[in-house]
Amino acid sequence: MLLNLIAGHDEKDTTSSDRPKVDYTLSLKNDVKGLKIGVPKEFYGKGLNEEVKAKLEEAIEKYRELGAIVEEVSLDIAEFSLAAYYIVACAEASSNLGRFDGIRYGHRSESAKELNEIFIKSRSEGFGDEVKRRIILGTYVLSSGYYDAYYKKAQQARTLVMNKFSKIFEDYDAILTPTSPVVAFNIGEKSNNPLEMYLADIYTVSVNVAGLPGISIPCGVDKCGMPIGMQLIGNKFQEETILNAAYTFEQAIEFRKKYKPEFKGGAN
Amino acid sequence: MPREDYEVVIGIEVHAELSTKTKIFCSCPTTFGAAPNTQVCPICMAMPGTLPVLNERVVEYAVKAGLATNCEISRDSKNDRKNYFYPDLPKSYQISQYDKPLCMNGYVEIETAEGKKKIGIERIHIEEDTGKLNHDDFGGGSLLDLNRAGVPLIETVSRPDMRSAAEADAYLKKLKSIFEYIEVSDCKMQEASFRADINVSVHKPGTPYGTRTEMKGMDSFRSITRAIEYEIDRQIEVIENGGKIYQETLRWDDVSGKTFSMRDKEDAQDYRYFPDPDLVAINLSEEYIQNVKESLPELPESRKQRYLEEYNLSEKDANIITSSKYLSDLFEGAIKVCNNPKAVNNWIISDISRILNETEMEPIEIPFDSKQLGKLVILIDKGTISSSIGKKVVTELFENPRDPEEIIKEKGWIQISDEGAIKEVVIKILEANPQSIADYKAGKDRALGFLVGQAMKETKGKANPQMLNKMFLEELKK
Repeated sequence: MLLNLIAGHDEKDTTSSDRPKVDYTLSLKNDVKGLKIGVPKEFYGKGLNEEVKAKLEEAIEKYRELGAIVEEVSLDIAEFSLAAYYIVACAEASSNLGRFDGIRYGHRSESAKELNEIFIKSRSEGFGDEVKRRIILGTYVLSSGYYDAYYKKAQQARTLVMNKFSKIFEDYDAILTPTSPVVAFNIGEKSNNPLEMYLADIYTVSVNVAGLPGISIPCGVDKCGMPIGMQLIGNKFQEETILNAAYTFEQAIEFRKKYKPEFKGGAN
Repeated sequence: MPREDYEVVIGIEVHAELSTKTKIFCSCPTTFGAAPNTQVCPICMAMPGTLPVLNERVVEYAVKAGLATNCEISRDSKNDRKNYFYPDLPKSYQISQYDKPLCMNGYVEIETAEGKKKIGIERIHIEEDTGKLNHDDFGGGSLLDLNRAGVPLIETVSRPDMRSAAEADAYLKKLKSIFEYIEVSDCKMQEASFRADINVSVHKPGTPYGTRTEMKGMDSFRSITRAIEYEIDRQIEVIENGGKIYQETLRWDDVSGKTFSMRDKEDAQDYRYFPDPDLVAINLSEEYIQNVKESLPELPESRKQRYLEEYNLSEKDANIITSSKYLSDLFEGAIKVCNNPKAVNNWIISDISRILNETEMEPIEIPFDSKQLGKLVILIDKGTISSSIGKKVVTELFENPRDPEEIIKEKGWIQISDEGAIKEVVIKILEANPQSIADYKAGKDRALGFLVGQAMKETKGKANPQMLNKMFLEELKK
């Protein structure tokens, strides 16, 4: 498995954990009896597509059938997570992408005549709209006078999100949520409405913000045959728990046999 | 110019390149002077997808520097990104430290004609150096050399505690000598591995500090003193004429002896500092800091005390010798060979210092070693050569360093101590100068000096001066 290969300490990346490696293939036990799963009610409210919601409810039932203990919990973090995520991610992107300055590699504007023109024109021509949007947002949230209100606040929000997750993991082994409030939209469909596009990430960015493992697997398809995803979130370094929970579910619903997703064009 | 009416305030930021073998975030070598872009890798060239790994030696060296300058060492520190665009900055951000530097609140003690004084150090932090742009004749363009990109630096920020160019000079020399002693930087100014940004302002006593200007990248003591003096005069003149000082960055031009405006406050950059997410926090244990403390070598202050007590050096001489680790090592090494501290001291303070000054060399560039200096002293002590020949040997040691014994043999400088030979010279000189004999007999003692001088000239400085003196006296008494 890929995870087996990428897990473990990398001496060339000091941010990687030096915990001993485990063989994740051994965690697939096809048994979730007694597993405690929390279902945060806030993730099933406003904005969630009805079909997605229905499939998730079926999934919850399936887990109960399989012997897991599934209970409703409260995890009021999705909106903070989304905001914190986009602030931090854009801030880092604005800095990370600075190296594409047209000096050493990448696109260099043909028409640039002097240094600042090389920077400005190469970057204006080379980057797409979404990248530019994120660079502008990121530069803004790091600017003097705004840093405390945005970047610093986002980092504080991360701590808050982590604490709320920790609280739940005191009593539960995993958290079950939809992957996205809607099924996949067509390529380019939301390009003109980035905010709506960012909102599609509302359930998944929490794990990035909190530094937790998450897995998304299909739990059914909608009426157009588009797959519906569910997400399992585990506590820090508890990949084995959620891999087993996902595997057990997948075996039970025989997704690959039952659903042969057929693209009929145009979601919803 | 009513200079006495003003108080001068100087603060200095010093960038010192650390003498680690490898760069701060990758394993490229840091050797100076290699062919352009031969000491680079994907990390220091900022190829997409690369990650930095902090060189532990850099932290150790910075902690050493902090401990040697009486700083508090931060147990919890981190790296931050300083974002700006310039071709010599490949990542478009410099990894530095912003609000949690490794070392804080230290001081060094300086000594000037005004006496002793403590100069506060606000902070010492670690960061990476940038690459270098070579504006050359290559078709009018600029070429980029990234060998220096990622070379580790410590930036030492003083408090605005200096009140004159002399104090700034003393502070810089003290800091340089400390870094040399603890061997964290070779501090070679001509290779820009020790360079200073000087902030100067003036104000009338009792009024708030004036607006400061900054002179960046100064890398010679002589220019620093000149530049500060010039800038003080310029600022006072502007104020006296009803003008205003603007906060700006200046460039000192050594040829014209003037400062020029480089960029003003309006272009002030927003560096958008934030913690580098590619790196982890730097947490230092008490034990680690204690170990570094114990590894510190003897510092200049302590060596100076030892020279005063053990060797009876004057305070002034001890200051000069301990001002540089290389001079101090030369001194101690030579004493081990010849066991004559007084003589070694004299050679260093007089001839060696003079040649260093004249040639604008730094002590680290002295081409001969302490053994050779020690041997020279022995040759004089034994009477093999006179001290005036010794001066020539020192000059020769600078030009073509080798065993002094070899030098004097080769050059035929061995002192004439043979009585017969000396007598011959004395008689020859006396015969040629009857007037001097008459003068001496008439009570003019100066005539003796003249005769000895003539004899020295005759022997090209090789005659033993004591023997010459003695023999002239004997002959004149006859």
